Amino acid sequence: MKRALVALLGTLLLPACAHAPPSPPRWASKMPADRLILSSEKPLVSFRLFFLAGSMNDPPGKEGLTALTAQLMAQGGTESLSGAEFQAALFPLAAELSVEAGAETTVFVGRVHQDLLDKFVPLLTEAIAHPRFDPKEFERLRGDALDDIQVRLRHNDDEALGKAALQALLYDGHPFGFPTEGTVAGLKAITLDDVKSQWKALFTRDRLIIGLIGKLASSELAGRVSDGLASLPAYGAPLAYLPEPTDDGVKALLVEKTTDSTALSLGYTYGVLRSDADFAALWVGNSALGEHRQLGGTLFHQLRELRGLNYGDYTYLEHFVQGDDTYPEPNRDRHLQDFSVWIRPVVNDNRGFALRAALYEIGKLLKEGLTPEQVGRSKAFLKSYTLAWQAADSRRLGYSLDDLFYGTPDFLEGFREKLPSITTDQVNAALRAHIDPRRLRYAIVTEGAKAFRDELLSGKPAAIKYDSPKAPEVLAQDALIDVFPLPLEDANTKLLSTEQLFETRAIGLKGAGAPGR
Amino acid sequence: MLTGLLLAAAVSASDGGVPPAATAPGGLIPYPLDVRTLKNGLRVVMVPTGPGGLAAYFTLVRVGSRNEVEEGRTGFAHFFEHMMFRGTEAYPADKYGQALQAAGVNNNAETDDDFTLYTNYGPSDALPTVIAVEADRFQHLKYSVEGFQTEAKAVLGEYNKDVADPEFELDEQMHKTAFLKSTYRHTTMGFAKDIKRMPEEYDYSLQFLKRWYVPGNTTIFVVGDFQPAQVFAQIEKAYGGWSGKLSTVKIPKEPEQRKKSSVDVHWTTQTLPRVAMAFHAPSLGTDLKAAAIQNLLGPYLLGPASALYRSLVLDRHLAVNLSSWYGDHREPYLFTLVATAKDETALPQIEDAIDQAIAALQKTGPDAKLLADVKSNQRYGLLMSFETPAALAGALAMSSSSTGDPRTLDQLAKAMAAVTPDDVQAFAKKVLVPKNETVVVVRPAATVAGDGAGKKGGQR
Repeated sequence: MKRALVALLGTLLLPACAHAPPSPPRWASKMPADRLILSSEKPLVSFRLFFLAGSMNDPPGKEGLTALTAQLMAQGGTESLSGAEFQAALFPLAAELSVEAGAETTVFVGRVHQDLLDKFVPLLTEAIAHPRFDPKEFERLRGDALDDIQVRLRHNDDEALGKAALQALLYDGHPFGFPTEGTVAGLKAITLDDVKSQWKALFTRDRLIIGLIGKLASSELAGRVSDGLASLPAYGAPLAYLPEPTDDGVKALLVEKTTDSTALSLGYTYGVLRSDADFAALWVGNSALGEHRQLGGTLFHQLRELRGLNYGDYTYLEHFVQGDDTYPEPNRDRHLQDFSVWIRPVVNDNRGFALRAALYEIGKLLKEGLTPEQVGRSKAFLKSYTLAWQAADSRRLGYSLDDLFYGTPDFLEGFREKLPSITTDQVNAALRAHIDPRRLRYAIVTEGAKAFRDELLSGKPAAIKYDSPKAPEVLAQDALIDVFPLPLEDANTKLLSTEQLFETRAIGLKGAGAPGR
Repeated sequence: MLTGLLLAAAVSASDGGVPPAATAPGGLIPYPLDVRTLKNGLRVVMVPTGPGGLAAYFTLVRVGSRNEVEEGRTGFAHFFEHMMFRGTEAYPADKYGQALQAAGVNNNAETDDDFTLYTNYGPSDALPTVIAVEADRFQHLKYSVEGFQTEAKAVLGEYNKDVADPEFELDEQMHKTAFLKSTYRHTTMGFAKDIKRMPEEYDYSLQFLKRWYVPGNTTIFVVGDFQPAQVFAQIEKAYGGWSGKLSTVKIPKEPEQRKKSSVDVHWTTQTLPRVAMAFHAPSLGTDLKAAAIQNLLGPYLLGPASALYRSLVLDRHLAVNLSSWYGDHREPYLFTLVATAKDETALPQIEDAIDQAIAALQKTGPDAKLLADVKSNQRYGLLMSFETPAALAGALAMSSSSTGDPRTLDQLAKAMAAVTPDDVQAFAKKVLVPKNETVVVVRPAATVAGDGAGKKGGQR
């Protein structure tokens, strides 16, 4: 695996990989730009105040501090307006002001109709530069974050739980190993003074890019925003290094939960970044394998269309957060990425088959390689599909900010221009270089987790049964999938309850020689 | 299932017909609507929005769970939406997907109580391909029994992904309790027992196709960067041979409610307690003005500037969040207020506070300043929601599903602007009364003592 890079500006030198010398910083000690102004013909103005600060800057034991600080800034009122007054002032404007709290970045996203711009700008800048830090709002928002982890994530959203469990499995003990919202113990330990300190340390001008787009976006407007933020400290805390995740040897994490169906998320960490030379070819290949929420992917076709196993099956080259539509949310930037597979819930009887089928199909595609026809379709798809990612102004601005983060100017445009020259051989070579189903680790949310683990360890065939006839070629493949070997043994599987997840930064997978029984 | 915040209301309107009847700008929607009808009854609404290189091509069929009048066939409209992706002789399922993939089109569909909406969004130069494959599947859909049965399992998979969410349970219980006769009694997903027996309903699916997938029940919305004359000619050619007669179905009329009803649900695991208070109310399809009032009344009572939000969420920390919904519907539907409580002990206090706010509204009418702020919020919210061709196409299609009129959204916006404090007070007096109300409470399992422990009230 490539060395895991990154140095970012941050509050602390993370001790987790004290043995590894810090890699050379990807970022210079100063931001690549302090403002980004894009023009548009739309009568709206969208803002992204992009801070290089995220949950990787949460001190150990205070997980959730950065996100909570940002929420308190965006919602909790200003020096001159209480939280209620602040909400009441935003309301008639129908203005949006929200936080995208990531692992390495925190972005305040604003959007307003241009008629109401002058009313919105002071509200936005005061929220960032003069937050009220009201104790009552602090308690309320901390309570919301705790509820979100303890109740929603652990009990009310199996798909999100599967994805979060995968992050915990891949990054146990690492700054990426817990939800950006925090951990239960971390959130409980945070004080209002911690929040104030984090604000002073991280939300500083040297970490900020002011992003604007709209008909009225101009350097004059950027100047007004900048003036409104002038009281923020010029410099923040020193560099923090992002450690390399270590492989703890656990291959499958099974989470016990009362449920009629099983959520499966698979993945592994890797050194791939969109700035890599072969990323474009890899992207073309991944789109053919498992484009998010589209009909064209091989996994979708095999698992859902031919077999009716579930609602959908997709693969991802970068950490993926779905927004309101099917396009990837911008500004979820990470210098350390993972490849992942999302198998949407399958009925418990088919869980063993679905897991094997995903591994089998990925392996088969890699072995056989994509055909020139498949590659051609995938290239044509991405050339056009990615245009829609930038149709909404705020997204377009977000992707341009991503370019500053990754050092990839005009990434999407460049990708589209590069597409015609990408060959089938390049695509297959990139897939084989970076995608390896044997490296996948499995996060499994299911009922009867122990029985399922025992079943997987026993090597017993999955023996899929259908209620309806299937084509002979499907059944022939099924016979191979049923007995597809899994690299599992007692020592590399781990059982946890939902209550054991997200409690602290590390969930105890390290050196997990003996499975939790 | 979909729920909408902003809905439209309206009167049934006449079709545009040929030659085109363009709506001049001046309303809320900043573009003219070019509405035409083919000889076979298929309506085409075109909204050129200028350069940008993208176009949305949305096909609205006015069939949804509302149409599911037959016992044991709930959820069928949604299931049928899935079958529309199973292909034709010219474009079998994989070829259909590949054609749209090669054209770079984001292709999907959704089903709601009153409609099924097929969405294609991509580069403008993909329109000829989109028109060709969409015209083909609407006229020549052909699927095997095996394909049908396999897809039924994917629908069950979709249901299974939804049921882990207590909001889904709340929705199911509310419909089942508030409605006794209306087909709104079941959600769009349908009852679980019916979903499980879908694989047996192949023959019925063919009937369903014949009944509802006909030109006179369908509207195509094209929004974005394109030439209307050219696109209309392509549509006319591709769909001109489509024929079919629209079935009529008698939707059971919901009898007037006589007393308040309520149901308690015990969730299987931990969850935040929730209370939903719903009132039978006229809908967009039946009463434009009442729909306009409901669009304002939800945010007035529970929005972030409301007195209840300040008190229950910000000051007393009794509720985690408050929301309201009023989906645009063809038939009379529900006006619903929902609170997620911090814990179970807060539930009675939340219900009391909402009851008191309603009583005050009935007695003294709304606060004029707040009502004006709500109007501003809704107007600018709508304006900001039209940012992309896909967003505008979706808003136009969904609002028109209740009335059949593509101009409904503009009409609703005008009606909202005209709502007076007296209108709101009169509506509150008439509709927000106990004998018209259904309350559903979802409680976490851990706090339920005795016989109900760990059991859900709903289907599973």
